[in-house]
Amino acid sequence: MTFPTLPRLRRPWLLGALLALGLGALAQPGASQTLEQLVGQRRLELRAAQAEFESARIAFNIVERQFSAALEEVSQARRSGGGDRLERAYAQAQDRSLPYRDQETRLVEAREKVAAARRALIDVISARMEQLVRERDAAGSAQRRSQLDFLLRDLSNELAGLEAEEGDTFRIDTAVRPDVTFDPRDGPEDLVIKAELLERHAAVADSVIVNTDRQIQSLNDRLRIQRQLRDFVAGTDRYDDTRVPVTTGAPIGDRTSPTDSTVVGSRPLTLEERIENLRVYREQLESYRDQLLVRAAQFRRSVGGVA
Amino acid sequence: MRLRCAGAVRGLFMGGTLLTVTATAAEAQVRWRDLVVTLGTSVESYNGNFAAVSVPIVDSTATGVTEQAVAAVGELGLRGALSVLNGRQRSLEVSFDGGLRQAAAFGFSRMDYAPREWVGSATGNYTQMMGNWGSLLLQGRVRGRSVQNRAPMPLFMQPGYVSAQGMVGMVTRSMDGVSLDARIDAETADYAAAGYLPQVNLLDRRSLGLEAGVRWGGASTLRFSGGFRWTQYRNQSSFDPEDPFRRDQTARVGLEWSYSGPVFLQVGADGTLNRSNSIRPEYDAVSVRALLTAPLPNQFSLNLYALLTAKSYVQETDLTRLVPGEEASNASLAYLQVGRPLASNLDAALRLGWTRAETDFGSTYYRRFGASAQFNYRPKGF
Repeated sequence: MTFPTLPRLRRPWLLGALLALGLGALAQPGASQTLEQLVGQRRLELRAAQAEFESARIAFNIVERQFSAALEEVSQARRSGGGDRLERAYAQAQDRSLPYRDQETRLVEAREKVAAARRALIDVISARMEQLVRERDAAGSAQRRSQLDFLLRDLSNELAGLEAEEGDTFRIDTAVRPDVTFDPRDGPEDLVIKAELLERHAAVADSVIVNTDRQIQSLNDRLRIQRQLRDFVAGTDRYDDTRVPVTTGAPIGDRTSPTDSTVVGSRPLTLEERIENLRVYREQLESYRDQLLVRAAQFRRSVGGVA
Repeated sequence: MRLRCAGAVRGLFMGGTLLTVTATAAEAQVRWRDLVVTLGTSVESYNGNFAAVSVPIVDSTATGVTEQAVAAVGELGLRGALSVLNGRQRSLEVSFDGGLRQAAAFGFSRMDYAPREWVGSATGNYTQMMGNWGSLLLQGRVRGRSVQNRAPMPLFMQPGYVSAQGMVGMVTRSMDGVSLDARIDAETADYAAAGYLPQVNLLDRRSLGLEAGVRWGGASTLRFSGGFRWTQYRNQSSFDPEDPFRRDQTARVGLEWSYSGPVFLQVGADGTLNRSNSIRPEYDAVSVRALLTAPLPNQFSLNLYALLTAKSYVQETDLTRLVPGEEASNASLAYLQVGRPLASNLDAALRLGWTRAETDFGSTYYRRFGASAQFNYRPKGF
């Protein structure tokens, strides 16, 4: 049984193993290069997984459209009175359901591979950062420390981006534990254990909701600052009071951000999009928690009946 | 305890599929990103004892030329942004900004003027991710401005014009904490000259510019940039029979530090060298600027923009230095604004403004002070 992974929580055992690898490698020449190479390799793996996911998505879209068209044909044939047309439509829908199911499975597997590759990269970057911090502390010259600071900052940006990207997808599986069901052979003890299991999941969901609220609040604060800046600049620029009419160039406050170093091949999400994603996720969490509690209460009520 | 996981896996499958299909549909979904209605009122004071080539009438009395004018101003504005394409690989956003500003001017001797400004602009921004090395940016912009019942000096207003600009740029992803950016843009501007004021046509121009920059950092960034611009003024004479029309080359270098976090702060300095086949507009200039947005207690916010410019001409000349409209090209200005939300979708702001800009004759200046109150309303859902 796997427990839902909380956002930003690293796998301690893997991190430990990587740290051990990093520390062990430190004792040898070219230690940092080894871990650095591992980061590069993990990046390539993530990129490959993302490419595979993109291919799966395109293929799924094609079969999904074909399957939808076949279902539509069934509906139309039924409305028009059936007969041969309906029979042909059923046959076509049946034929197309097989590739649809296959592509759906492929898509889900590809998505899981992306998540796994991203997680692996996060872990190895964390280990590399630990290593760089030690190297920086031990560095003999200010120039070397400065170089390592640059590397650390870059990796830190990359890590933040990866974690944000990870946060853009489901952070916990909000399927309401359909595997925890009533079984005629369950005794009172089994029912209590199942109720407690569901309640523990609800408690985890609660803590994630609190954390999500905090993230939404923080992003809203940043959005308010951004909007105030935009309103201010628009108010002073609109009538050319600050805009110089005889030369061109970027308007004041314009800040062409560098592409996020981590979200390889993807544009960074805007603040509005990140807030919207978190709100949707929060709604899912609330519904998930409530359903878990309802089902836990059902199990607890049943204890009396069995006893 | 007998637990079955097939249902959970199926649930995850369906969730993932649904999310993917929804994301694909969302890429092409047209969505409003922002819509703001602005209502404002202000009092502006203009000082300066000078005449201007651009103004058809000189307001004077027996005791001399008007040195001070005051205007009560009301304004209405609307701006918005629409996300047309919203994918992770590419995005297209269209934004617009328009407004009407009506002034009632006092302090003139001949008549009461009521200048009215209409402004409008539309911008399209397209971003395309280019694999894992960065992104490509395309921008197109049109901008127009019209001024009716323009008042004499010293109540200076920019002349009306229509301009169009296109830009292609790229930004690389951060590599070892460093990212590079470059852009090339072309612009054409046509000034709206009334029949009695053909001088304004002197500002008609075409220009081509290049800019490249290098940036260090993340939330706190330092950017060093340099650029070059070629500008042709096809209606201006260079007074050189062999090369009769004015052509300028402008070189610029700049250093800028930005911080984006709980506050936004941008501080920069620019150096400009303008050289021309006409001796009149050749100058060197240095400017420093700062832009700040910071939250204050009780939901108040502080906004500040300041630009200070020092300019020196390369050669002495008896000719009029500037043609109409160039007055602001080396202006110094400062705006200070304090704002506070009055409701979830209504913000209020008080703003003080100061401008010092060069007159037609070079090295002489006019000043403008203003105080305004503004209300920004966002309809529900924005």
